[in-house]
Amino acid sequence: MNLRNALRLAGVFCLSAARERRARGGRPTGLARRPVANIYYSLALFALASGFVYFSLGKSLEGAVLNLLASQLAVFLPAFTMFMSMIYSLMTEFSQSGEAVSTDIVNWLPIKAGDFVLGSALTTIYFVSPMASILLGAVLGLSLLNGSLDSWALSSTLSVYGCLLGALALEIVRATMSRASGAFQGMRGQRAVILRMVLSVAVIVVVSMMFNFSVMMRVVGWFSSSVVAIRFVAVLWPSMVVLEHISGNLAGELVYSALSAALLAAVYYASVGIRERYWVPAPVSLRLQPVRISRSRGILGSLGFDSGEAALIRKDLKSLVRRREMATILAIPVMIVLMGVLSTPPEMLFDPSTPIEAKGPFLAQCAMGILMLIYQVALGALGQEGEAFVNLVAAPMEAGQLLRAKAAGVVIISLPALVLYFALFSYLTSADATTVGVVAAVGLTLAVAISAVELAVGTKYATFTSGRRTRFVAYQGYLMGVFLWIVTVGLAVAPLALHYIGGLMGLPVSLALTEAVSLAIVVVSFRAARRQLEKLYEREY
Amino acid sequence: MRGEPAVSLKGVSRRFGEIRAVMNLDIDIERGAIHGLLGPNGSGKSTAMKMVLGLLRPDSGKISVYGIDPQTDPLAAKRIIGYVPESPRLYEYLTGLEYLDFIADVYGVDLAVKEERIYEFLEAFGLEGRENKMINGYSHGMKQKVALIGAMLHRPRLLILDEPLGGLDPKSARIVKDLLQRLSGEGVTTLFSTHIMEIADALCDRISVLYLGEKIGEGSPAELRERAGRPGSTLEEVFLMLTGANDVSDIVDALME
Repeated sequence: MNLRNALRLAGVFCLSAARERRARGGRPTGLARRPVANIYYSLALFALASGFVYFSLGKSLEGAVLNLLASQLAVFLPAFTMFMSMIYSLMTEFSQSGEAVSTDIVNWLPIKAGDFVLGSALTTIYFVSPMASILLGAVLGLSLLNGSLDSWALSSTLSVYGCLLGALALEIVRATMSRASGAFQGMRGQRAVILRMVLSVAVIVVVSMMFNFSVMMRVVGWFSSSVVAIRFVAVLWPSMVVLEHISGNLAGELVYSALSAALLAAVYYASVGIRERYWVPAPVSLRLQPVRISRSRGILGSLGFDSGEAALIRKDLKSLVRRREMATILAIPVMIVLMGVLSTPPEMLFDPSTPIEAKGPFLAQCAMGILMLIYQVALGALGQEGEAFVNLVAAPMEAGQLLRAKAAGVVIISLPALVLYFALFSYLTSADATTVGVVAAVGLTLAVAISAVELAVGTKYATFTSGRRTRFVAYQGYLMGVFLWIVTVGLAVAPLALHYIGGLMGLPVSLALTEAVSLAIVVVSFRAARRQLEKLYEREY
Repeated sequence: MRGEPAVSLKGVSRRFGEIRAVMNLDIDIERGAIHGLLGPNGSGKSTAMKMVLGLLRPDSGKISVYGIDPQTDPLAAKRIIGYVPESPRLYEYLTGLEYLDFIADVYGVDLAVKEERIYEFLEAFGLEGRENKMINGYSHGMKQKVALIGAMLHRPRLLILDEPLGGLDPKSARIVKDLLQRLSGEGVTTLFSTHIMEIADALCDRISVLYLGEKIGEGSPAELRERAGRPGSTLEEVFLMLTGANDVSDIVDALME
């Protein structure tokens, strides 16, 4: 490995991301276009988080609680940052940094796999640094209050280590996915298309789960007690270093430090090895079975969509199973649901005598997974057009038609998951018809409201750059989407919460209010989306 | 003249910040004519074509396409125009056939004739047998052919082709040339840009030469030669003379030093 090459590559990848083209053809200007901006941003967030915790939150805690919280956070920070750097990158920057750029340049540059892996991993750390800074700052605030700065320093160092480990694990996901996808080169048929997508999703889910400490604790716990299990969960070794330090066990601290170093080396060599075995992939082309040209308007036509709208919906459905970037969009919700499954004992779940409240967290996690799917699909609905968006602008299609088709596509994609959820809810809770009806009504309403909101955000922040991308929107759009997702869910379910928790109003009234609030959100969002789309029609192509 | 112009640009200008992309452009294109836009890189050819399509709004001036203003009634204009950008931008995850089916539906091509028309074009361009392969496996030339077919499927009255023959093999280039001439006979107007002078010479009824956003010459290829005072020379020599780039020997010498 050549460190100089790795650093140069990381610099180029960071620069490329910092200058990412934004919606409406604009580019970041001033400091925002320089990669160093992210470092300043991280430092500011670090200072704010530590200041906030030290001066307000931490001072309200009692001594014992403060000590417990400070030590627990210091212990789990390295393991958490590891998983966070991986998931955060999967959701926001996967294939944005290294891979997208590399496809074009590294094939003919004298770069070794090690240079590329390290450069790309450093880029991932650069991306996650603002998030990590908030966590490190918050724990610093607590550590200053209880005087455990040594633990904080150790935990912080190991958190950087955790970020690096997560970033290297992401490299394993990237290279493995390329390998898995490349295996289908030249294969025929729709089955190959679907199998390729299933395999890609499985690679992301399995590797991510391997670096999730709570999942690994659960898996190892199947074979031993949790006290013993913790020692065998490799991703917890850096946390064990901090734990042993706080306990004053120097020998244990050294052993876990050595194990952590070995883990880093193993993951690094694994990621380099896999990358070497399958260097940068060429686009995988599949030959499909002959398709019939559509001779009628079909089901979509009978639902009221015109030929252009129906064509757009069909195209987006094909895109979902054929494009490699979509694997992440599908994998994240699968992961959320799987984490719910793994953290809930099946005997409790399927026991009819278990109260509904006990099954609530599992059902909530499944609902979260579906709403996350809707969020991701809707947010990227327009940006996924990429440079081919010009085809739609040049075509005789109005902004309204385009939006209707995009919204319908999101609803069609989420409908099977919603139906499955309602069936699962009904089966697991044996709830009465009224409860199932309320859940179905609220679920559908939320799905439509989130689709509309995210479509509006995705239209405002759409990016139409070429190459493989994950999120199809600018970074600000991604964050705005998450924020508005929370606001939408909060506003829509607030009336029901007033009924179920506060008992302040009857069910019919709260349900009607939920529907009314959601409808208002849909109307406002569609108007905003249409305005944004009309502006996009007027940008330079 | 074969009646009212199919395309008319009157005093059209467009700036991008400090850059004057197109300045005070006046062009009339007859119905059924093949009109070439010639000019070096950055001379404003693509900008002018995008303004005719309605993808770009002119800062000043007036554009009319078969009597329709693309700015005030963009949908009506787009319905009668077929457009191929300089680099084809296709959905790489669709097959060629699926892409054409999609484009036909978006343009509202009659379901009864759609299939026949698509296969006719696929056969003519030598893409038959490859139509079920995903576009990301196509060569640049194949993508160009798919984009060209997509622009012609809905039988447009005006074709706007930005460097349409780049990347095409000689046979396909010949097909496009013959097709454009046949379409011209049926009254279809074509506005296209090219760097290949032989093609412009052989194909165009009239040519507008653009340089730094301004029109510096217009006429049939023979008229341009005559006006340049070089009736016997090639169009390339006329073009280089008009754009002031006729002597590049100094540049070559400098590069070889």
